[in-house]
Amino acid sequence: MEEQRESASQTSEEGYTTRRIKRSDLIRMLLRCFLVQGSWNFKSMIGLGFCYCAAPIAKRLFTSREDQDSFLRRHLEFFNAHPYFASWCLGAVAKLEEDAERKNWIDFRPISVFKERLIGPLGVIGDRLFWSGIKPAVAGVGVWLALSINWIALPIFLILYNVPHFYIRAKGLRLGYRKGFDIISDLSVRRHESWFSTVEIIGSLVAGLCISSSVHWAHRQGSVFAISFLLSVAIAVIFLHYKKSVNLALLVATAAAIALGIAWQQ
Amino acid sequence: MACNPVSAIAAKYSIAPTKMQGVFLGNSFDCEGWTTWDTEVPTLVVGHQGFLLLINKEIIKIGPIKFGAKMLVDLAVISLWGGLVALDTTAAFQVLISHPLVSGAVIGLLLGNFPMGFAIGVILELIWLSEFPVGAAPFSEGNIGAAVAAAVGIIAAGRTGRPEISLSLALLVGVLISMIGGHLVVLLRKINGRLYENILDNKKLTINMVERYHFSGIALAFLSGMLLTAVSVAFFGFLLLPAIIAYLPKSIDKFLAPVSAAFLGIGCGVLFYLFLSRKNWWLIIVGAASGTVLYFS
Repeated sequence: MEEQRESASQTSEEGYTTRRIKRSDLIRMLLRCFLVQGSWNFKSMIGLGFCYCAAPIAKRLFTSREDQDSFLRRHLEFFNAHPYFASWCLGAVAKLEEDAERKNWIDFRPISVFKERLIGPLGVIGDRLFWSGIKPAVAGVGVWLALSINWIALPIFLILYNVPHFYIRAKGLRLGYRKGFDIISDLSVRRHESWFSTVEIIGSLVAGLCISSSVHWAHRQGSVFAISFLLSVAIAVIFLHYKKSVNLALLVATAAAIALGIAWQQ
Repeated sequence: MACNPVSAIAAKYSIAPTKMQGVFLGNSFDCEGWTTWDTEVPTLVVGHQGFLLLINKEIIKIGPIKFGAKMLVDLAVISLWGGLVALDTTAAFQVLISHPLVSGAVIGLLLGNFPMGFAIGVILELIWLSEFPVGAAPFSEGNIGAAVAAAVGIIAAGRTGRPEISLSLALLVGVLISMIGGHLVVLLRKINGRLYENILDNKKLTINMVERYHFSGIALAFLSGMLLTAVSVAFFGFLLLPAIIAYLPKSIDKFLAPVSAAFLGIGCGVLFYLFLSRKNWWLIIVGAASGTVLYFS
């Protein structure tokens, strides 16, 4: 391995152009990012998925089987991130692998350590921004519009969610590839605070609008529907507050609604 | 159309007449072409939404039929969609086409009852929002549950002519399937773990090998979603629910109707709780007040 790396270095010193990642490779990586969670497992989480996404780097930078093998092994290690933010790390890794190949690094551990350090920030920012921010807010918009203007809610729902989704994936890959190690400075929670608060403001307003439109819908169906609805909202809040399962809350609310239905008819 | 007994019966039991094809003493007939009505012999009217057994002009049974070509096509199409839903939930894309709102509407379109599929999607959309697919935390497979609920609800309503009770029972089936789906996801992740160990055991790793193992995981996710949807829809939609509903008196439909409001209420409660814990919680009140003015004024 060492000999091969030395010979690769010599060839580049002799005037051969060093292999570089092309725009087409980045596009391929971006498309592969949509499948990053395809082989999610408890041992490496998205390690195998990350390695699959990074494969175009190996194809471009390493021609020998040995180099490709060691590349794949170091990227098959444990890795986890929010799926949309995995591209941030992927872009940075592409840059670092390119630098390593060009500058003939002997030790690749800095890349592995760098990946490990990104796991936390990528997870925290992604989960907070998407899973507990944009997704519930957009779902609220979807239900609100569905109850108000029917099926037109569907395209609006998909567009509202996927514009920031695609933007984050593409921006992360591009920024990561440009900055390499320095991407870490873009991944502080404080830096994304304005995004979080914007999403929270919109989400809170939408939650209120969604509840009022649902009350209106239930009220139009009849009093028993409206009472069942309000009772179920209370059940959900109590169950979630005491960390109980939503499915259990559903069963309790169903039983209450049936009881109300029977009582009302009699 | 009044002289067409098939259309009349279809209208009486809220079954779309254009979706019905009949069998009369072994001879196929076209619904539109049927103009005579012989009441002396038992007649079986078969449609993909159910069958009607008619003796002396009386309908004596509405219930499941043997799997005909149309039913199998429906089941295959819904199952393929179920596979896509399973993929979009975690394994691939994650563009939210798997979410109940979209998925229910698509199932509605596929089965020819968009309003009901859409309604089930709206009711179930918010329920599982508090269960984040984060790290190794187990979660309910709400998306598959919702897709199955929409399909089962539409099929049962079509076959029994009782949409209210079909919708309420289908929602409960959706919860059950979401729980089963959650366990299935854990099982899949364990299988993926074995695949991961296998790939590490290889002495020489190649890019093709990594791609093959990764796509095995994706294929497994698709197949598991497809199978879960197929089995659930066949069992609950074509067999169990129509049979249960047929035995339940019609008076019970009204008792079960508020279940849909309860489900929507749980969903709104989840959304409310998610934003209640934030510093801008008071904006929920502003939103609710604006909505109240908008809807009730």
